[in-house]
Amino acid sequence: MRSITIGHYLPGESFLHLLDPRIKIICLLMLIAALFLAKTFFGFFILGLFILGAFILSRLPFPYVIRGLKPIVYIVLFTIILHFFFTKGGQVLLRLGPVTVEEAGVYLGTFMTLRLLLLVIATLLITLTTSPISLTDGIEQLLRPFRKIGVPGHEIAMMMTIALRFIPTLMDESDKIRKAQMARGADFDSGNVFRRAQSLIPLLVPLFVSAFRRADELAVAMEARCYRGGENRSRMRELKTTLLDYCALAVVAALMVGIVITGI
Amino acid sequence: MKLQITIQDVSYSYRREAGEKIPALKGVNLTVEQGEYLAIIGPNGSGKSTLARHINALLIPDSGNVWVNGLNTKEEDALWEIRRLVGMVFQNPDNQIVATTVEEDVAFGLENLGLPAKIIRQRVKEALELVGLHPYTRHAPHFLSGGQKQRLAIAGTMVMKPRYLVLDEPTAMLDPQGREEVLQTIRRMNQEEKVTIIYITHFMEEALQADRICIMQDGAIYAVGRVEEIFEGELDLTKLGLTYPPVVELTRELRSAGLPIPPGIFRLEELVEFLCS
Amino acid sequence: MLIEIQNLKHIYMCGTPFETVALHDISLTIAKGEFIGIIGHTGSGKSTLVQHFNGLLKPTAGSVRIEGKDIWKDKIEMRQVRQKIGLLFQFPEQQLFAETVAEDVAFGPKNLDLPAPQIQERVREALEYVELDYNAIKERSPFNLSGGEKRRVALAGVLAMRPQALILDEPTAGLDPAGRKHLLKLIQRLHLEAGKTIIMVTHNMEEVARLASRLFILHQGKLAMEGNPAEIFSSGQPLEKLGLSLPVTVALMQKLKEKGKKVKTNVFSLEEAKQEILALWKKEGKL
Repeated sequence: MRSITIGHYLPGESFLHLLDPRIKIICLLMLIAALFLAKTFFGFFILGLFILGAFILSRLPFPYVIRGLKPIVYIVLFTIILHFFFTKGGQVLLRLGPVTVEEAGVYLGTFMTLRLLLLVIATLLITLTTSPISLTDGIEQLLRPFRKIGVPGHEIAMMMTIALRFIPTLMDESDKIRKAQMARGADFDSGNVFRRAQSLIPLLVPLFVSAFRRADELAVAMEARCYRGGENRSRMRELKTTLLDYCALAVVAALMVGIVITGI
Repeated sequence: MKLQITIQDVSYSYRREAGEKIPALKGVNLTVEQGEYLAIIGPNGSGKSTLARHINALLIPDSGNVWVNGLNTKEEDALWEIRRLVGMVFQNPDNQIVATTVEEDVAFGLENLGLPAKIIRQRVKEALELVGLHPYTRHAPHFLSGGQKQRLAIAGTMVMKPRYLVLDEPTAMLDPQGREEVLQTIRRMNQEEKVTIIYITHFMEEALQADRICIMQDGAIYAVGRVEEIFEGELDLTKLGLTYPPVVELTRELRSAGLPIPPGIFRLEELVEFLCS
Repeated sequence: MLIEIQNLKHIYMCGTPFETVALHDISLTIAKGEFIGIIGHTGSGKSTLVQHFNGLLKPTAGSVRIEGKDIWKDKIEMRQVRQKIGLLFQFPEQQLFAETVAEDVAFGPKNLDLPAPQIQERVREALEYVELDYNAIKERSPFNLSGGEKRRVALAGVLAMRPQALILDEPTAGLDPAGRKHLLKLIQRLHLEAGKTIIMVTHNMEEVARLASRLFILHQGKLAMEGNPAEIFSSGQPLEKLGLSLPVTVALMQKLKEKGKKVKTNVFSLEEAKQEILALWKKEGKL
């Protein structure tokens, strides 16, 4: 109960919230493709504007999106430092003793960082406006055509649902077990890497034992409620696409095609 | 076709990897009429849960037969109808909730039966109202109390319109408040919805609201009878590692000390009334 | 004083929109050798409170003193605090992890960096406390024991630290009546024979009324009542309002008293209740 997951769904009624999850997933995939195909800063500018527009339409509180970026701060810093100091080429912009920062490094560092940030923001906009259920429903439906070539869409969706359902339960449980071992004098925070890894055994073993027991009991409970896999199964929530969904799809598709054709 | 559960000469052993057999049920015979409220009581390891799992074909007897409204649990064609007819609620409230919202979880059983969305929505709504969880329709199950989680589990079976509800120690992990919630809900399902209740517990005080009590010991049925027959009969439950409900124990003690307490006094109010008359 | 809590306040997720005040200005003291009951319904903050007693949680405000030393301000090793004040969580069998019972029980003493012979000595002693046969059980896997045995092994794991005080969070939850009775007897023995201070967190009124010498009642994160069982249950304060029920024997006697019978109400065992009722009948000349 004490843990908030970053990128957690925020209920709402905005345009973005109401879009069909399947459409949202396809749009996100197209947007990601566009981000990788864009070759210039101008391309990023256009995509950035588009994502900004989507953000405004989502009516999400700004700090919430920013908080979602926290986990990637180190990756961004790492990217910047790596490129600034180790990518060479062009004019030397800064010289600190033997270390130089060169034009190509700054260019590439900024380019990569922008790509990464836009990618994460776009993904956040989807996860923040789509409930986990809709998301799994969407994935299940999108994977359905691939069933013939052996893609287990229903099973993947069911696994995701169960994982989402049990993550908070297992987090609480790990907190409890950690405290129980600390009450017996365990120390999880000091010593070298080896010692620390070893000190995790009293935490991980009970957690695994419990997870397996839960899985076992859940399987029996599901069977008792007539679960027999995805065959002949219906859903309470039916996904319905509206004209708006197709419009959104068309706009994103046009954007992606535009980026590719113009080569910006 | 008889509208009842018939358990006839059922024996069952669990098998360890080494091929070693551990007998859990030894020739059990029991009939449960539709509409009644039966409590099954026994210490740990007496075979209560094993018996429960035979009723909806989660386990199939090694020998003997189990019939549910005339359907034999050994017939594979009858499996899904039996599981629809016999709802099951387990001990751990967390480990039987599948979905990430309350309504989705209630819908799970009907989705498995492949019913159309419109009917599912209607029935889910009714089931949630039945157990009083309708204010939590869109909530994540994680935020419910233990008692609410068990009521959710009850709703998840009631949605399939079962005729029997088997509850395997549903209150063992709950606090007194949660326990009371669950017991009340079960009583309502029995009285208003006319669902047959098979309630497994090791607490005698919870058996008080049943019509009949079945006592299990070492894989066999030790005694079956109406509540008053069990509590006021010859057998001594304490020898089985069970305890009487406190008021019943006190009444028994007082009676053996010479107080002329008439039969049928199991509750606090009844005892007070007698002592003041 | 063994444990002194002063103006303790605890806020979960302080500074986020999910901030919740779990404990509100709580002050209490527990002396060596007491048997304390901490009562309250789920969400009253009782588990949060006891996790402050051995420094598993840090108070948002207020102080926690163990044997006079402030465990968050004075220089004191937390491991020593946790050795002195043992804590057994609810459903403690979930914390078992080792391959053998002996190894699991030895986890605590090992963390205290004791030499091997001493550890073995403590493991043997702890298992004997919980009435398990050391030689028969030491090599067995804790995962293959019965529910009641597992719980006793977990209790031994805490006892092997040789704590002065033992906090038990709902120790009998989920056990069958026989297991319950056995465990309560053990706890009583630890109190009387081993001289341990016992702090029992529970919502089972029967158990705590019979065993504890002093009760703390928590409600919505506040200390609502404090006193010995006789005071608490006869104070006339409606416990039901706090989401709690009276022990059956007390409820019975109170009902009789309301009807004009002259009986005492601080009756906490069935045997006492029986004697009281028999005495009443004799007085009324019915027997």
